[in-house]
Amino acid sequence: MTTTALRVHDLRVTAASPDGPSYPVDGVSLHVGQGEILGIAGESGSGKSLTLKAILGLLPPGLTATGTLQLASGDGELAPYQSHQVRGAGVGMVFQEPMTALNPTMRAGDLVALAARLHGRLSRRASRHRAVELLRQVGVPDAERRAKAWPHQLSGGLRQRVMIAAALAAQPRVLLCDEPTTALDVTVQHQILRLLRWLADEHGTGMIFVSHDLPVIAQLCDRIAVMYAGRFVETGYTRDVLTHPRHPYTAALLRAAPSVDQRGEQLAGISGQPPDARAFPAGCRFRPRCPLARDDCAHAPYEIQPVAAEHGSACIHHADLEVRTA
Amino acid sequence: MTSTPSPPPPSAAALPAAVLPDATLPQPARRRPHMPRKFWIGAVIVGGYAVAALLAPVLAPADPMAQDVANRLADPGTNHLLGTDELGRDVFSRLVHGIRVDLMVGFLGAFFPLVVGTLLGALAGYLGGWADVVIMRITDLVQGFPVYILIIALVFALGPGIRTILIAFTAIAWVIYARIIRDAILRVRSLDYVQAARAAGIPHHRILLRHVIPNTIHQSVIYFTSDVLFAILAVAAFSFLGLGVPPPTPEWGSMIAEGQPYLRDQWWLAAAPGVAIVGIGLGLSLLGDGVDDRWRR
Repeated sequence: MTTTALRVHDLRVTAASPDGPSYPVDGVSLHVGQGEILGIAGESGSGKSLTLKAILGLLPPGLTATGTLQLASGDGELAPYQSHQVRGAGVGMVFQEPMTALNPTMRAGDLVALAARLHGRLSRRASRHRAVELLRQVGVPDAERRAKAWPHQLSGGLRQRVMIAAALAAQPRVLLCDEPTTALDVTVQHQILRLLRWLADEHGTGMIFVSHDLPVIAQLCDRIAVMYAGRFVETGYTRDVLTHPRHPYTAALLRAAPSVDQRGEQLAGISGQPPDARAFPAGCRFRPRCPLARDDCAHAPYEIQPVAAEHGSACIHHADLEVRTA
Repeated sequence: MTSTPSPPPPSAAALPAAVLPDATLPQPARRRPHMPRKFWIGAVIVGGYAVAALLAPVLAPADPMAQDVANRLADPGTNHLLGTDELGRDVFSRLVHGIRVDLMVGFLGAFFPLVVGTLLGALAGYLGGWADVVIMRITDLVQGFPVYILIIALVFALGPGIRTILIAFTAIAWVIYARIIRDAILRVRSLDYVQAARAAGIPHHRILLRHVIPNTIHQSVIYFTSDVLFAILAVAAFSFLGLGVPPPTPEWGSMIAEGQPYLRDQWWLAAAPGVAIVGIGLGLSLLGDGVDDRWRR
């Protein structure tokens, strides 16, 4: 068991509106260890990106967050934090779109150097050296020359590496990754995933990796949390969850993901739409789309129950599911 | 509308892998398009004025203030390139020295508002809330008044002179820059790279200076070139009316005013500074227009 780097307890994001408040993120609890990668999987609109933004206090106007956020300090003790104090050095973030997440008027090296200078209290010259060093570390070839390039002169993969280098310049304890590989093509995606894994293993950076792409999460993450309608519905080690899903939603997601051995078969979609945060159904929120739904699901309390060691499910009929998949 | 059947798109599967672009290779640097020709014409004209202003003591054959009443209203000739005015001062020398005054007031009269407006607009757009409300209501107030009436009121309150004109310009012209920057920031603020900078823990003032303003300033630059012209025209106009640069400082507007009584016989006394104003106006307009074209691509 590694030391916990970041702990989030009962995080709730409130969206105020004239019709009353809604909760696009509704009671999320999670923890990430040093050098551990936690994947959050879910459909668009399930609240996974908002969860990351709430952790860094970057919610768009009109949204507020409540809950407990704790970050490990230098001696490993968890302590509550103010989000604006930990941005950068405590918790860094890598964004989805490398095309728009780099300032077009700053050279790649200057961007990384600025972050290094602010957090490392380095001189201009030292920060420039550090920037080249960081670019080299994240696998930018010919880093000396690339540091002088403008973002529009770099490919998508290189830009994503520049963004990762800028995030690492502050030496964050935890790195939040918001679908950082979604906009890249497959070979580049693979390189970036390897880079992230290496950073977790070698630098002990804890990571939360948000994606809708189950195969990517399966490849990269130690643990996984499946998110649906603002809540986690299943959590556990990636291997356990993906081979023995104990929530019908996880099972449905797995059937919907294409894989090589299913060639020729029809992909199974999930019928219906994910619910809107303003009208979450009572009881189990997956009930209207669930093939196994029963009457008592409408009154099911939300609670992640342990189903095996380090494996939890919010489905009250998870025991039946085990029989079906076995 | 007629529709012609288009050939089926080539199947991606049929393409050999070698044809597909490898995104890990760096893309060739995209060449920035050249500045349009009018930008260069404008730049040469404005540059010519600037050089003449710098070299005024060398270019001007005589002291622009030296009077020679015995030789007043002389015709243009070898002694005096553009003749002499009613006090016998060399018109060409006054014209060249006038560039210094008019260009300086023009540039400063546009530069101060640019700085003030950009900062206030950036604060309004980036901070939002009450800062936004207060600053934007002030811009409404200033824009509600006719510009020249405001300047004249300030001139009467503070007395004529270059200082007054600069203060008046700054007090009025900043509003357009504040509005441009504020609107641009509202667009830019939600962009990924500003979010990324916030996520990296970069403080507000640095995000504004390094990430937001560099990406929004180009619209202001276009307004800046036309504001320089506006300031030059206004200085000339106010000096013509006796509210601007006090005599005997050489200034185009006051030179036109002094030449006006002699328009019938010594028409060049008023025409020469007029042509000078038209020239700088043309240069600045071409310059600003060229920059505008370049940014719109």
